[in-house]
Amino acid sequence: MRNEIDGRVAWITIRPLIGLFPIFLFLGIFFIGPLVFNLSQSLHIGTEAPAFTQYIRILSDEFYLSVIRNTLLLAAVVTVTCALLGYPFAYAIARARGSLKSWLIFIMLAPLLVNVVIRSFGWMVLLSGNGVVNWVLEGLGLPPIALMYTWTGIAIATVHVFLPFMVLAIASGLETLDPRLEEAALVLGASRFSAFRLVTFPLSLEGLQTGSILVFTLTVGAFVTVMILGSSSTMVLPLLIYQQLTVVSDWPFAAALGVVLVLLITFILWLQARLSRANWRR
Amino acid sequence: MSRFRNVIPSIGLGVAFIFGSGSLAMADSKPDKLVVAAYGGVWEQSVRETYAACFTEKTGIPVEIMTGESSNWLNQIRANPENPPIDVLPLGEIDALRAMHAGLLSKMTAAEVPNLSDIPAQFYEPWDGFAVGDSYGGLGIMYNAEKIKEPPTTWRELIDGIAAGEFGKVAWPSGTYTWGPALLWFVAQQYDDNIDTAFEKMKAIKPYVQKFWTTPVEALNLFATKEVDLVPYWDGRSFAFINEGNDWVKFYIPDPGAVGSLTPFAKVKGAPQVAWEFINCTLSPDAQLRMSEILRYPGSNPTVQYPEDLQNEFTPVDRIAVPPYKEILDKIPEWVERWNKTMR
Repeated sequence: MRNEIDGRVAWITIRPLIGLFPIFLFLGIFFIGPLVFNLSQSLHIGTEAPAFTQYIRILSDEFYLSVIRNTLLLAAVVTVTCALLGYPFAYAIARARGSLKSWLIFIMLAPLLVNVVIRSFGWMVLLSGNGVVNWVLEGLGLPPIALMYTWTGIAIATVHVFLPFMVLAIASGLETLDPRLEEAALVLGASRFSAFRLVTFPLSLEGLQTGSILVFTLTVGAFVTVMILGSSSTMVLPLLIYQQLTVVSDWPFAAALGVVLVLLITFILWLQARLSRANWRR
Repeated sequence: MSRFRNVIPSIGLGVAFIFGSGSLAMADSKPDKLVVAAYGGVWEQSVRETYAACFTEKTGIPVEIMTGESSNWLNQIRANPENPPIDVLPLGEIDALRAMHAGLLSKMTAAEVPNLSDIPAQFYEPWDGFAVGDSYGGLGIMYNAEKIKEPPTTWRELIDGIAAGEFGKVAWPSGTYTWGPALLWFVAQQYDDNIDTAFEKMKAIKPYVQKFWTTPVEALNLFATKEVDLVPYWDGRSFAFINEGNDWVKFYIPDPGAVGSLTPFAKVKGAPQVAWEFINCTLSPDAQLRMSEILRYPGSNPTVQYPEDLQNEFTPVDRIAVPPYKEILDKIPEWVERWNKTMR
């Protein structure tokens, strides 16, 4: 009798997961599988005795540590910039009505219709020494500035690429908020800024968090913009992986760099989840 | 029982027919298509209009062209050696060596590729007969003739002049470009075959290099927008740009010559035998002439007769320096890492 009850409880627990079997199979083959292959390549499994030589090479060399540092720093700068620029635009979308809302969404999404390679070449035209930006500066009597082949130029173009993801995530969160909460704060004597600071902004943090995670992970994995707008002084982890695969053909080292990239992203996401839980408890 | 006596011979005839026709099919198997890799843009156009057309005319088999890059194709056939997704490919020189060492290519003979007997050995010996170059290009100097009146006559003078700031900003191929290691080797040859000196010279020119480019498109953009007035660039691409009406541009090969680049075509192991006919087409005089008219690069078959205007654009083969790829192959990882660390 007890076994029968236990069996029923187990079946009730497992039954909802059966429907997820196809997605688990898909993830197992196309996500876990390549990661396992990558890991085995990086450890030389199958060709020689397993060894951590590639990881020792990465973690003991100041150049590779600086590449990791630059990758994370670029992602952080792009994420913060997208949040600062994206929040006002997302607020405007969330509060707009009718055709204005549609136009704002279209303006935000329009860049996504253009391939990122084309957009990067477009930024070359804008940011180059003879480009539009310097042409305007010279017209205003100001000295030209060097934006191409610098981290600044790369960050500007990368923000442009990933801003829509931040805006849409925040706007989705803001649209679920009841505007009467903000109205109630105003009626009770709060200023517009106080109502935003104490009511709207805290409630929109989840959307901001989602957008930040999205932009951060996308930036950490981006390399086309860095390759086109960067120089020999601006190396990031994905570009280094690409170089090791295409020019050097060093699969084990490229695999190790890939594993390091995945671990970094996983660690950042875990850290972010811990901080979020700590905030909720407060 | 009499009903079954009639059925059994019928079944036997049917089985014999199925296996017999299958055997005939295997003995005379013809693929429904041939998959050939080609670089994008005008390269794809040239392959489609020349070699693919030649092959289809001779065999009746259509050609499916897969565009991409050498490293991608190498990784694809390396990942699937039992059932390669590509039958014929034009790998880069280094990647052709890697594919050869990995046992991914088939060795050709004059019996399978009759046109091979016309081709000079320098176009297939670097790969021990596992690949053959259909054409070659030379890396020379494309410059703004309105700004630079008298360019230096030698590579050494050019490099030292760039380091001294005599030419303003230039664009130079990155050591991590596909032909970057080959150019590093070539620069070393200008300084007593000393690779350390080559890296020192690259460091010395860095303040005057607008961009160490990794794709020819970048280089052309920088030059065409006059961000730079001088760029090492391929002869065929340079003349294609000049012939678009850019009279302010000139191209030349400093002494002692140009870094050469060949396009070694190879048949992938496991590809159908009929793929040799495609390789044969890449070496045929008619197809190479048409290819040269499109790409402005000379073919490897010396029997091709070119019109004078086209001939004048070609770098003579005796001015082409082909790097010893077998010697530098194992040094590439070290040189690329050194480039990354030295040039940041």
